[in-house]
Amino acid sequence: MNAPPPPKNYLEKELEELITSDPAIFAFIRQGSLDGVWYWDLENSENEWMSPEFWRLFGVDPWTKTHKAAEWQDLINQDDLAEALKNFKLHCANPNHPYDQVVRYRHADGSTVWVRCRGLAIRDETGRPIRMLGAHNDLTQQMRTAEALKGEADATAAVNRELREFAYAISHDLKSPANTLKMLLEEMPNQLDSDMSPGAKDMLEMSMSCVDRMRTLIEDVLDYTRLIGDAPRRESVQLDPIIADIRSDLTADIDRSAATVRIGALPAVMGDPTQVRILFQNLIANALKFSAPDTPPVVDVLAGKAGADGLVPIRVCDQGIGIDPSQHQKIFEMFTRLHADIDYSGSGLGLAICQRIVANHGGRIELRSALGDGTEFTIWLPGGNE
Amino acid sequence: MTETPPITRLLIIDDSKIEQKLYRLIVERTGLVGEVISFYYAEEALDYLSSDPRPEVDCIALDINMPRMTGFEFLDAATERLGADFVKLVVVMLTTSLDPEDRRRASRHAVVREFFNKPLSRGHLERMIELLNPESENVG
Repeated sequence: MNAPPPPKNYLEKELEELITSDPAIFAFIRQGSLDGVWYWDLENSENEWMSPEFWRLFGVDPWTKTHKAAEWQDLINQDDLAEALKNFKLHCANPNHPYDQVVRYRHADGSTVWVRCRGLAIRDETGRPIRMLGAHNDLTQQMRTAEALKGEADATAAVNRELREFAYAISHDLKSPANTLKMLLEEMPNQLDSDMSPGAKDMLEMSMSCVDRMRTLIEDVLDYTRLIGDAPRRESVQLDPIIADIRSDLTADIDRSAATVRIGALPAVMGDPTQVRILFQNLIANALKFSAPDTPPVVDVLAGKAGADGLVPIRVCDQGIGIDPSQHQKIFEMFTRLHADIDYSGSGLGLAICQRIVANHGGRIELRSALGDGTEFTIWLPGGNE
Repeated sequence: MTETPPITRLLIIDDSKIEQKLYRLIVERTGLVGEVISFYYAEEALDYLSSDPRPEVDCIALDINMPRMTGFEFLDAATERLGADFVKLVVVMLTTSLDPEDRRRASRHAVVREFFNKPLSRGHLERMIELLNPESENVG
């Protein structure tokens, strides 16, 4: 039940009396808060009074106009007029249906004037509408701003799309010569009549590792460009098989470093299976990579309880070298690396990719780490169907 | 009799192992440099330069894009810690051309006298020698 309305304030009562007794009050309201008032005789529908402000908004001298409904009909946008007439009919039939719409008028200078037009049917004792009182509010400035913003947003989106396609095309085309180069370098020793000198061997090895770096970089840039722009697929993704797959992909690294990878019970998340896989692949590979020298890595992948926002946390923790808190923000930027390649190699794109994927999914990524103290990434993703 | 090499001590600051090897290869081939000291991290080079007694260094070949401390950050930090003349000469080694804002940033440091495109060449070393010996530059 609604509470009964409070008794009228004496000032409200006074104002109501003032409006009926003093025409200056209505004139003030008309000019001060409205951009046009109209009052239409529904019994003689060719007659309609329009306030001077009504005409001035459209750049028309009010004194050149008669008080006929026909006067404005060629100034209003015809589609908007049809919409207004529809609302008019509905409002006449049912007072609860509001007569309220935004319509366009043509200004005398040819420009468009956007008007919010509201009206109230005045009814006789039987409820039949006999008059219609209407008010205009000028929305032109807001509509122009909104249009300009939309134009800018469209232009930005187009530029982004173009850049993405460009980056994709470049990295895609670079892939094939890089692969060929690797093949050629591998073939080189077979083509020599004698053994290579240690210097030449060294050069060849450096060339190979250069090509490998190039291939990693190209792969990572390709991954990244695939993540920009388009909304990701959204489906319930069971994490257990994905993490098991990743683990088997990383078997060589795990065996080489004698790593321990412990995986807890994992939930389902809502997301794009490919992107979710890339996300955890990067995090787990990092956890294995950034271990202290000569210390077998220990990596834990654990789930936590869903937050109030419906996001579920999945933690990827290692006991490795850690990240200085002063670098925590920086490491998510593209091409940021904290180590020379003699210590730890990489493209500097991994965490930028992770950040992007999490953002694509409406999730977030948190980092807890200090130098020498291990690293814990917590990924918050929308929960999937169990 | 063996002549003293014109560049007594050259510091190379570059995070790439392969780049470092290439530097050494060129330097050894020319015989223009007495001692080469390599650093993969700019912070380590800064620690070296700050050691007591201060090591005498002719020239630093400086990479820009490095992990943790970039070449620019190194120039700022070295100037702050050791003074504007912390070394006789710095040459900036570039992978690609430098954008004008970065060039201005590096040029604010008076010790930065040249920008070279990688890889290092004999010509680059000869230019370093010219810069270290202004008199002979006038003659040449």
